[in-house]
Amino acid sequence: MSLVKTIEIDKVEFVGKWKTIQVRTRTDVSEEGSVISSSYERDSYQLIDYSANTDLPQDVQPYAEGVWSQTLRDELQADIDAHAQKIAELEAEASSSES
Amino acid sequence: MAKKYIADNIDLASDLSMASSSSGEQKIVIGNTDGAQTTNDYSKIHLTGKSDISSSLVGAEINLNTGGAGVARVNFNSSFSYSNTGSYKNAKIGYVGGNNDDFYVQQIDGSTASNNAGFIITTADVRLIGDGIKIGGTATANRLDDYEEGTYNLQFRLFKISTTTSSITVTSSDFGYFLNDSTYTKIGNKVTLYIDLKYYNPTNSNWTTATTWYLGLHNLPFAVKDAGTSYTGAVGGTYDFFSSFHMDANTGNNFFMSKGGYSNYDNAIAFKSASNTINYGWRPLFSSEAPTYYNPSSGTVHLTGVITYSTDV
Repeated sequence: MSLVKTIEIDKVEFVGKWKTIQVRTRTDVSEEGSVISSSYERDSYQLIDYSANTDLPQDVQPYAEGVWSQTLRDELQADIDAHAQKIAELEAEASSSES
Repeated sequence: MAKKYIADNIDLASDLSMASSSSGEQKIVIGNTDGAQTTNDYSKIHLTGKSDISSSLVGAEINLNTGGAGVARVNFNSSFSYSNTGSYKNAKIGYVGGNNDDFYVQQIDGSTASNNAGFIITTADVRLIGDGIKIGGTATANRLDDYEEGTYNLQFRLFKISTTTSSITVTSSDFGYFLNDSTYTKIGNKVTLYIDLKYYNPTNSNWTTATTWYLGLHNLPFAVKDAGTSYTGAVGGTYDFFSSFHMDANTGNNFFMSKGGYSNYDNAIAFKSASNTINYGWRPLFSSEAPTYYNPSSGTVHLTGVITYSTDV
């Protein structure tokens, strides 16, 4: 009567405009081939944190390859630049109103 | 053994026995092989009870007894794709009184007032892997399609005010002691995080010097619903949770949760004061500090709390 513990990624989801990768890892404990216990653990990865798909954990990289494209990266950078521009305008506006 | 074809009905005055000492299946086959199918020209078994039978007795019954360790089962097989909306479906059970449901349970056991549930399962799961279950109506809004619970690797993240990309993820290696027992429960599109963190002496210097950083919880199990930089959820918790984050005396409870940073951060929630000024607000305390609201006697900060937010999936 031996217990066997297996851990594997059982679900990968791409969510939202920037395709945040949600990874669910399932842990099963089996006895004589029958699962007697299971649990989930989750991690999430967002494009803004990884300059290259190869920066991701190795087992997540294959999932990112097809989704985190250069086009998406370019769109993200454009969005960041637009936000930075907006913030600069707001700060300039606040600064002028104080003076 | 040659087959025997019987053209008429069989009236049985006693049991029909098929007991055999030979190996192999013992079965009754009812098949219609007369060519083109016509109305009511199908194969079926009817068990019709007596009309004057007492309500306390069984009127008609099929028992499947294995007699040993085998499996007792009923198979519903059909390779033909008929209408999914009509009265007749390919494989169904419990077609009762004109109802078109695949599985219609009116009342299995109403013999006693305390045992009149329509559907009782005592030793197995009910698994809804497809479209979920609709409660209280048939609209999409009535559908419950997901439930999940588990753990996640909660991390702190410092976002710098007035920028879009400057942030620091503070991991367990930045603490002298870090224990994460946080869990999550997802019901539909609502995620509830149960935060249970113990840490000691964070070493990242930004936590002490930068008043323009605000705190986020990072690596959430599910991405936060895109709501811009507006309110995204609610937070509650124990005294320790709030006091450990050292609420700003000037803002009191007037803080809000937003999606982490700006719209580019999907898997973080940030806590910041309404005025965007930190003043020691929303950062975990160092054990060496003597804060007004919290003074950990053991030197270890214990955060517990509950956060609920919306997700897109």
